Amino acid sequence: MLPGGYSEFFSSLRAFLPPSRLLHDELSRLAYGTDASFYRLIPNLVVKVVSEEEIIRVLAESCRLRLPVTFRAAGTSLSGQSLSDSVLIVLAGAWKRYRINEDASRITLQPGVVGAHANVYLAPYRKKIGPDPASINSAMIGGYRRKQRQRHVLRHGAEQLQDDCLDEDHLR
Amino acid sequence: MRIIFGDGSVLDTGDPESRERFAGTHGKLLGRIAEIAGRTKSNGTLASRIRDKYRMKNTTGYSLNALVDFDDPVEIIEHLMIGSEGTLGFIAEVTYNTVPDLPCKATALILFHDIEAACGAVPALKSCSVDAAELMDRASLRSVEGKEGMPEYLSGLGESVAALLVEARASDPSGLAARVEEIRRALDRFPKVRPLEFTGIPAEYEKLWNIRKGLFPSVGAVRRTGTTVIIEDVAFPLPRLAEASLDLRNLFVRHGYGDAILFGHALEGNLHFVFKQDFNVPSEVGRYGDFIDELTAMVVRKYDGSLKAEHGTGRNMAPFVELEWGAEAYALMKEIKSVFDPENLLNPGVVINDDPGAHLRNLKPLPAAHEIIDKCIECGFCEVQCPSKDLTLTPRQRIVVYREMSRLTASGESSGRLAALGGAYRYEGVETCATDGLCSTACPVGIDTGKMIKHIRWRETGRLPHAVARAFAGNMSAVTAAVSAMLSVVGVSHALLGTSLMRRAALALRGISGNRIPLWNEYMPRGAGRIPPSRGIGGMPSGKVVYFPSCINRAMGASRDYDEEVGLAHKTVALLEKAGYEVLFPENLRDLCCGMAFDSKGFREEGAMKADELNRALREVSNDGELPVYVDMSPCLYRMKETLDRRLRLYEPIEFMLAFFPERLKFRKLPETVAIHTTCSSAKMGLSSRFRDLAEMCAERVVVPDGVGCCGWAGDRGFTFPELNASALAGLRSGIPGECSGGYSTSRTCEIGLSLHSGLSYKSIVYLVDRCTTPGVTA
Repeated sequence: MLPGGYSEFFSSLRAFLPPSRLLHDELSRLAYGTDASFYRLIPNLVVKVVSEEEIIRVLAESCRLRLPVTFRAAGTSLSGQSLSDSVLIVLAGAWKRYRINEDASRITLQPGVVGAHANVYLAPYRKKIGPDPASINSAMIGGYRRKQRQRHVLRHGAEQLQDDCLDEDHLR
Repeated sequence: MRIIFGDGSVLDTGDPESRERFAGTHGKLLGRIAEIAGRTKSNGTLASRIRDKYRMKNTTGYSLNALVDFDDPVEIIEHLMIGSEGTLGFIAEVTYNTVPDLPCKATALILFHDIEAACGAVPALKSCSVDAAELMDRASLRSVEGKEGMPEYLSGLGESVAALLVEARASDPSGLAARVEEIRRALDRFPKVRPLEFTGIPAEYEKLWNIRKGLFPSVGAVRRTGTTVIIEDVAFPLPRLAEASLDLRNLFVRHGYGDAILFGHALEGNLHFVFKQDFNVPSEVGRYGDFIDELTAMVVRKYDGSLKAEHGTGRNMAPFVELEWGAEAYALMKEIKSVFDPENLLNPGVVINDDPGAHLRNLKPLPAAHEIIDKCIECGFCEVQCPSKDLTLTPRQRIVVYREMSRLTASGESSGRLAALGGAYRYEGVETCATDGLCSTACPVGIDTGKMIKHIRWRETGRLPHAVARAFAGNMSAVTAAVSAMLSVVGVSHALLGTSLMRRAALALRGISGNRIPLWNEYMPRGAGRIPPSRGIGGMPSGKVVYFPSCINRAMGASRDYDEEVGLAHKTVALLEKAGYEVLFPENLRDLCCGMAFDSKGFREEGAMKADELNRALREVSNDGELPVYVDMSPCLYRMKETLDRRLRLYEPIEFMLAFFPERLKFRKLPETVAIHTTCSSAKMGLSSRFRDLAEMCAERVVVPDGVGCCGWAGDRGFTFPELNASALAGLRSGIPGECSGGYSTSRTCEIGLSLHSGLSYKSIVYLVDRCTTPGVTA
């Protein structure tokens, strides 16, 4: 039922992923074929990954079989960047670890952390992350890095940091 | 930054060992990046073009500034990754430098005579310490005027008025006052429609910010079914912002988008505009295409601006990256893509796309499906709230699939596909929805997908079950008594058999019944005894309260994990009496129920019948709302607030205790750590932080486990589909510190699942409040 190389891809992923995280039924493919943009692409296979190790193994296989892949965290992107008509790799459940350094000048985040949650972690230190998009309660850090690039503004414009800009120094 | 590349290799830019390893395995890649950067830096025209482009907010194409800002190839890669939208690799971890969260804030809505005047004041503002300046045109203001909570003067404004919503922040009040004064002076010479007025009162400035937050939903909520809402995101050089905003308005009108609203982050010259769009007819797609062609040409040719300032290139602007950047810079971007992803396997079609019409392909249909969800634009804000998100579907996905099923039904095409979707939807969409409605709290237009699911259940309930439901509804006293008696038998068995034997027996029974017998667990309540009549207290009661114990709490008593053998109804009466109340009960209490148990399963008529009965009984006993009515389950209370007579003064436990207990009881903080769980109903009533306030009056340390929303128990779904509860609470146990003495909530059924999945005994907050209070007054 899976077209072309996807069948082989599926079999090799089955070696280390449970079937509940390899979705290719009609309903799941449709359900994951949408993001916040006005585009739709229906993936052949949805792969839910819970660890970096799994991503590495999935990519090794997709690379070997020359199958295109797209990553998705919250799927709140507006320009159609988290859709695929091939393999959609979804960050499932996990990916929410974070650590804050001693003086809270830095926070290290996994891509599944929701923006507003990062600010909850930082609140006791009276700090926050730089970006403040309208989608902060739902969008995850994985998409932030795609959206927020305005830190570059500063470097050249010598302009003051504003609202949802990322300061040159906000990201290391 | 930790990056995984398309071949599965890993680079952690913060880890010297990883950098070294990567240099060993990917020396060639690093060499090519260094070569590209060197070539770019030595090309004076190109290098200064890149620097110029980033004077403005820009997310179109790749971050070419990485090539001119850095020499170390690893640093270049790190900065190229930002904004690459998964087309160069995957970022597994990122470290941000934090910024101070300044606690003192003041906001002003500054009204100018027209948008030129508003834009004209921005450079002056920019010279001040100002944290935000949001521009809103007249169409924007009009879209929210007259709505609840909006300032009244909006409705009376002139035709061309435009606004700047300005915010200043500081670490202390005197710093804030200085900033406000600085802004006031800077804007002094600009004519304004109303005098400049800052407010530092949270309720007031939130009201002003709600204008800004309401803009996008306001368009989403009024559009015709089948159309979508598009938000664009362009940036102009600040000195030309006024001119550009007028050009945009003319462009809208010329292409028939006259009702578009225009707003944005003025300090960055970043304008958003929102308009309605139909993609169902080719002529409309063509109109959008023409509009975008002219928009991109204007932004680039006339202003040398950015086509995507914040939202990312995606598929939408990929065909215009070359237009914005020029052939040489675009060739550089394609070269970068080919270095990291030579076979175009990482998110192909995004950022780099050779198809000049890519932005008009793969358009998503939004067919009419159900009036409750037709306004959904599938933004996905609801998803994080949903208890079934890791088990089956999210609210957005429920809508997506339902829409497709509706489209297939209407068009009559592919009945096989419709059958496949419909078959799977029963479990994935309908059965595993908790119908808790938390999704509506995150939705920009307030859609409660659970309501649609309830509607589907209602439509699907057949004749026979209706007869059964009606019989149940008409005999609540028999039902609660039977449940209570059954639970008592089960409770005795539990005591005799012990937990592990009991669990095995229950599993076997559930298997034999084809999953129709609810799954037992060790936190199942025992039967509740009869409700005690109010005994009256020693002294004279100093007030009266009507207590409506929900049918759940009339049937379900304490469970084995409780440290005392007192069911909630008894405990509540004792606490209310301790607070000096005479406790009254509605007539025929044994037959009363809010009706939710029926309604949520699709038995709408039976639910309405029960609500009606309860309404009559409560009106009578409370003298038509003269006496407050205390309800011991938040979900029931929530439904009662929606369905019963507005004159009734209905109180949820948290609300009631915070409102009346401090003057009637003395609170003493117990030296304990407690966990609390805010039910969906309490959350929807805005009680999350107030629940915390109450708990903090009772215990020294209060824990709210991270990332736990709706528990997914959903009335009784926790019995029939326990996997929903398990999935929703998968993260609960790890969020509870070992020293926790107990968990507290305001819904008996939720508490069963919370106990089961945390190993901590959860019970009503009433038990905690009772333990920490004595008659008297809290200072």
